[in-house]
Amino acid sequence: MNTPAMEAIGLTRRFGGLVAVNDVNLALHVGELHAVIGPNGAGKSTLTNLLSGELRPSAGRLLLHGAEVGDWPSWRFARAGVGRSFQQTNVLKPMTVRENVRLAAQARITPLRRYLQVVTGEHAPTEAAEAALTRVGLGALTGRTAGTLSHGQLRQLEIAMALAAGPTVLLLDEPLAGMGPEESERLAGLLKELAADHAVMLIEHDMDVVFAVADRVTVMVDGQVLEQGAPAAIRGSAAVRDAYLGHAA
Amino acid sequence: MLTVAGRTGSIVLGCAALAVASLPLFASPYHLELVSTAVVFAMFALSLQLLVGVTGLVSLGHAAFFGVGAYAIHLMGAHGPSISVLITLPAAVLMSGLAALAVGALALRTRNFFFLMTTLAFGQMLFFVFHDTPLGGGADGVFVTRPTFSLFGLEWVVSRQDRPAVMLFVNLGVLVAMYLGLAGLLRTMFGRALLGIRANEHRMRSMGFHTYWLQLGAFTLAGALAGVAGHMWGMTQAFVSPELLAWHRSAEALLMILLGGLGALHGPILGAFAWVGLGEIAQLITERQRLVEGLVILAVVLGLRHGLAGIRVPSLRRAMPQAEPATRAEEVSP
Repeated sequence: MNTPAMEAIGLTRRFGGLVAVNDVNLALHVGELHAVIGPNGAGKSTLTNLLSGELRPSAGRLLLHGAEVGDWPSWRFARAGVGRSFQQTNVLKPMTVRENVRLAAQARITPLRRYLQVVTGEHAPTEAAEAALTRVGLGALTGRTAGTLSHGQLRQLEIAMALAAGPTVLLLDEPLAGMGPEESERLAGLLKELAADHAVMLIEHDMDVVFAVADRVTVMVDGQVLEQGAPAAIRGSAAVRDAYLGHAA
Repeated sequence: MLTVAGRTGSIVLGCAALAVASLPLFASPYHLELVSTAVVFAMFALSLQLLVGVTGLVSLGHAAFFGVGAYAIHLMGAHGPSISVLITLPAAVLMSGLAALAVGALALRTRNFFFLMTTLAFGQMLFFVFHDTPLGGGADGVFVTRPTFSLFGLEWVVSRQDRPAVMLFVNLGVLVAMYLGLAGLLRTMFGRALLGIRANEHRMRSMGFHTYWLQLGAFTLAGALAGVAGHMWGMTQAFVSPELLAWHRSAEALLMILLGGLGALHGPILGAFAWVGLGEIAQLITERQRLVEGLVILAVVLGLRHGLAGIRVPSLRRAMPQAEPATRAEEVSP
């Protein structure tokens, strides 16, 4: 198989005595939507934070396109094409929706001297921002202040911000939580679409969504990978049903 | 978020600038010098607004760069013949900018309370450099030869009677240029990134911004602009003293921002004028000047959430019902 866009090998993160992520192996490929599921406290968000450089691994390796990136700061991940959304909404609240997304797209602009251009200048990423907003369905709200958006709209904005920078790897931490059913369905379709030319990791609680869109599923329990495989195999796994799906059923 | 005055606000500000420029027609030299002081303070507070209101960094060491800019005149040629302002001003910018670069490079490794204390410490260090070493020329301050208005041997000689008016014009011109420059900066991608850092630094970093360098750029620029203000102070007064670098000057500038409005670029300008005017009036009516100042600041903070810049004329608003409040203080986005 070709080199994964992102690969974790024995990735481990400890917080004092707690091992939040324990010896996780995971490969994200372009063209694949990789869902990570598991009960609360399984270490899914910590894993996202490790893969995006928010946290440093305590042990193990992290590869981006085959290169070691475990000691990179978070801003380098973003510049190298790793986009992420946050589980707890994390946007620039006093700024407009358009501005939030434009800044996300601007972050990858180099050289820095272009920064002295006005935001309407030719190198400004206005179009990329508009395109990302239209794609997630916020095209009509670009002028609104981000702090005034509803919960579901903020989730959409998070995805647009992750998209705007043109990433190759997308790490989405419960992007659909709190969204209305219609929007949720629309965005699930968008995720599927994005997986065609991105390596997408999706953390999601809604099993219907997961099994509808995922190409590959990893089940985490207590920081460890319990099972990894195609959705059908996961659905059939007795261990998974026991540890996780059983509670829901 | 920090806003730049919209059309109505810009007209009001422009009229205010014209009013100040017309003062020499009827005001006394004393009052011209007083207004000149307010204009220089306005530059200083405006330079601090780039840190506080734009980038979200509260510094207690900003006066150090103001003082370095003022001392630049002394350092450039303390006892020799006077030098052209075209040399002293760039020198002041360079010296204060370099000082800010050095201080910022270290202080920006800390945040919030620790940033406040680190900038305070560096500010005091610079204060003692000019207070206690031969570099400053004495703890009580030193007279400086005013820079001249000369270019390639051509000199515009300003008479003693004309000087207060001329200095007022020059200071006002520098203030207007600084304000327009900063308003322009806020429309660039650099300016937007700084505003983003104030809004949510963590998110900006995870979006891919190297926030340290952006903040260091803002800190250096703010220091250099404070140096411009300090230079204009020294040129206006022909006297510089270590007290210019003292921490309470930094605190005073923060008070001006608070008084004028944290959320508007022109807030510090209003605040500086209010501060100087307040001191003057308080002095007239009582010996307890500080008490009056304190009470007024308290009243403004409690009563005007957005400072003086937040005051709107109600009749104007009613006269233009179609205009949303946003057009009055437009966000800087185009």
